[in-house]
Amino acid sequence: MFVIKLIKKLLKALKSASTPSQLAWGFALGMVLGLTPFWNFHNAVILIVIILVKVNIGSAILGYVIFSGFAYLLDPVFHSLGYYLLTQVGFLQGLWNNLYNIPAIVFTNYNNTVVLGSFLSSIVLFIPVYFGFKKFVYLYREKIDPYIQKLKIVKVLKSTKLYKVFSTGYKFKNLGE
Amino acid sequence: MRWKGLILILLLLVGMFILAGIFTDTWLESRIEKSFTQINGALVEIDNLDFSIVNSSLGWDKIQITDPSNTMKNMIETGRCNLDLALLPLFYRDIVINNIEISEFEMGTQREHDGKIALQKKRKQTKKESPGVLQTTSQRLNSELKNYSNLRLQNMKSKINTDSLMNQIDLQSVKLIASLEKEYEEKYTYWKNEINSIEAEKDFEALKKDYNKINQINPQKIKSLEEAQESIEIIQSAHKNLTNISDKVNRISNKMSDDLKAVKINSEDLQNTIQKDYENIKSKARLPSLGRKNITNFIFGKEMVNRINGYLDIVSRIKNYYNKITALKSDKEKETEPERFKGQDIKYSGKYNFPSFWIKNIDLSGRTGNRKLSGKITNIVSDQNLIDAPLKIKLQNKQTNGRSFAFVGTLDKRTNQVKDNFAINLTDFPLKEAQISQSELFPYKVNRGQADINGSLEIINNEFDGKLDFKSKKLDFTRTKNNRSDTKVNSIIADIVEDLDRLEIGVDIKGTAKNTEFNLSSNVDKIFNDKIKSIVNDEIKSAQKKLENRVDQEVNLYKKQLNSRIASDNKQLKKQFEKYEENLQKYEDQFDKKEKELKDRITKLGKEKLKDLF
Repeated sequence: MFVIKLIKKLLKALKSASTPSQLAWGFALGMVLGLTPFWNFHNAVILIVIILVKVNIGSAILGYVIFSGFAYLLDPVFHSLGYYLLTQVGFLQGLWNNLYNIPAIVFTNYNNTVVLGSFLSSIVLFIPVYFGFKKFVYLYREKIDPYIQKLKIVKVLKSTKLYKVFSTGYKFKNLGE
Repeated sequence: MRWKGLILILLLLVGMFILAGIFTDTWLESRIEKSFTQINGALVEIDNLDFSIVNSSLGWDKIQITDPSNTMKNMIETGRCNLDLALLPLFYRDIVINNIEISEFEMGTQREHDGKIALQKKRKQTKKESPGVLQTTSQRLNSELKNYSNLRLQNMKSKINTDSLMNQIDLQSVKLIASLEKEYEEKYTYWKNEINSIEAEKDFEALKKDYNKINQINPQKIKSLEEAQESIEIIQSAHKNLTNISDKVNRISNKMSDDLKAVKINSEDLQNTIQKDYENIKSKARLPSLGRKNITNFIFGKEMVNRINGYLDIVSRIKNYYNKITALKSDKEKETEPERFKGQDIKYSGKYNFPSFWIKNIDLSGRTGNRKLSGKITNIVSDQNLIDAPLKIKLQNKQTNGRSFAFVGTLDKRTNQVKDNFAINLTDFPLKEAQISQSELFPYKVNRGQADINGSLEIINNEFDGKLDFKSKKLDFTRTKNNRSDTKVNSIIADIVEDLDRLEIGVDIKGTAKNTEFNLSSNVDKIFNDKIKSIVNDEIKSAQKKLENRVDQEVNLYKKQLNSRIASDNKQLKKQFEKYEENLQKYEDQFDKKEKELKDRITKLGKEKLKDLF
């Protein structure tokens, strides 16, 4: 059920009025939320950005859900990366030390191995994910969606009452669009 | 820009503040209770917690910390507590409390409901802790004292069963006599054979021949001196034979007599052997030999051990709680494989490098029992090296009547050599109604009196050295049992206690993980010792005399039997010799008579010859 909903959300978002950039921003920001431990200061900032700025919230949720799964798998890698950066890289030690003596910065949990490892990984991935997803939206709207709409089975499905009821209910839920 | 989103965020923030205002105290109270309960191992309850982020203060009206060893009692119960929380360390997720004021502090109060908890399984499998040196010492003291007092009590009360002891012992003195008897037997047989080999019949036959020859001599018929001379020579020859036989018999008789006499009981050897038998029996009887240490341990040991164990328990608890606090450091900072999604916080040096947990100062006031108490505890910290100061505890009470109490402790974990010091001092501690000894030999309680108690304990890693001095004065005892003397020892103790107005007991205790040395001494040791020794010595002497009599009885029996046999055998052998001698005498008489007759005849013949001449 969850997977069906996820696919539906994705399809809906792709077909929504949002621009490909808005969709890509949402997806990339959702990725940061998903890859890094949720209860951290930077995630609060990202959430506020998602809510206040006109990025697609649906794609942000989608990004969060998908990358949470990756985060589970990559957690040991993030820890190792964070540990390496925080303790093994000599020239960075001064920076970390200075940051550590600014309480507001420490509040961000930058000195936590998983937080730093995952955050830096998500920053590195941000640009490729943004452009990749944007390209995918163009591709979907121009080629994949018209092709799908022409399929007989889709036409049959769309003519059923069940589809109408389901799609109406779905609209109520997607307030952000 | 989504204006609706902005409103939503603002609404969420307002909602969060309202909810925080309503629920933070409750949430925080339950979190602290849960954490403290886990550390304590029994229920910790807080009443009416209030937290103010603006004033950075935390406080509650009451806290009850259940005693894990008796969950119907509170180990500590307090009234109002105010905490001055440092805000900055919270950014670093460190808890630093500048000051805690605790009022109405009480120990050992009764709980309304059981504070037992079902222990939760720990997330991580921690290494099983071995009991500390203090607990091990406590166990050792209890078990050693139990064995010791049981043994002595039994010895002092039981009567010595001489019959059973005699059956257990193989008397060496009796064996010695038996070996002498065997030697005598061999010699007796030898001499009996010697006597039989004398060939008495042959000798007597020869003598008879001589006798017959002599008998044929008729002095009246002798006419000449030459004839007389010949007869005398015959008699002298017979005499010579007789003397030879007699000499031979006498020689054998004397030799035998000497030889058999040699088989006598050497009284010195026998006495030494008998002495060894006495010692052997005494060692088996385990007659009490009470030294100074025994009496003091026996009478005051249990009470002093209980007191020491009480102090060790308090110290052990303090150390145990402190170890749990210092373990916070290792959990948070030394983790190499962190929990999933938790990561590891890396700490850096600088002015904000706080310990994970640090209570800088606790001011407390309250009471323990009837005694008012005030004190200060400083630097309860998860890592002493970060603040370069040890934990210090000082609890005291001073009264206008001169009575005072002080407990001072220092726990220093700054180096690898963990060093803890504790000292307790009580001055003019009232002893009214106190029972100084739990021994059944000391059924007294103090009617009136005061005591000074001074104790110290130094623990370095797994070794400790402690002292406890109990000095009481102006003592007056009351007997707790009506019948004055169950035993002689009780009676003596009663005599001593009636005159006793000062009691000083000293305890020295040293311990390592493998060994414990416990020494107890008191000023009344000598009095007890002398009096009890005199009583016990009488009993020992009586038992010893009894045992000696039994040994003498056994030995004398064998001795008498052997002597009587020797006497009887001697008599028999001598009778044989007497018979010889009698016969020899008979022949000798005959020979003498004949010789005299011959000599008379010669005289007569001589006179006649002279007459013829003139």
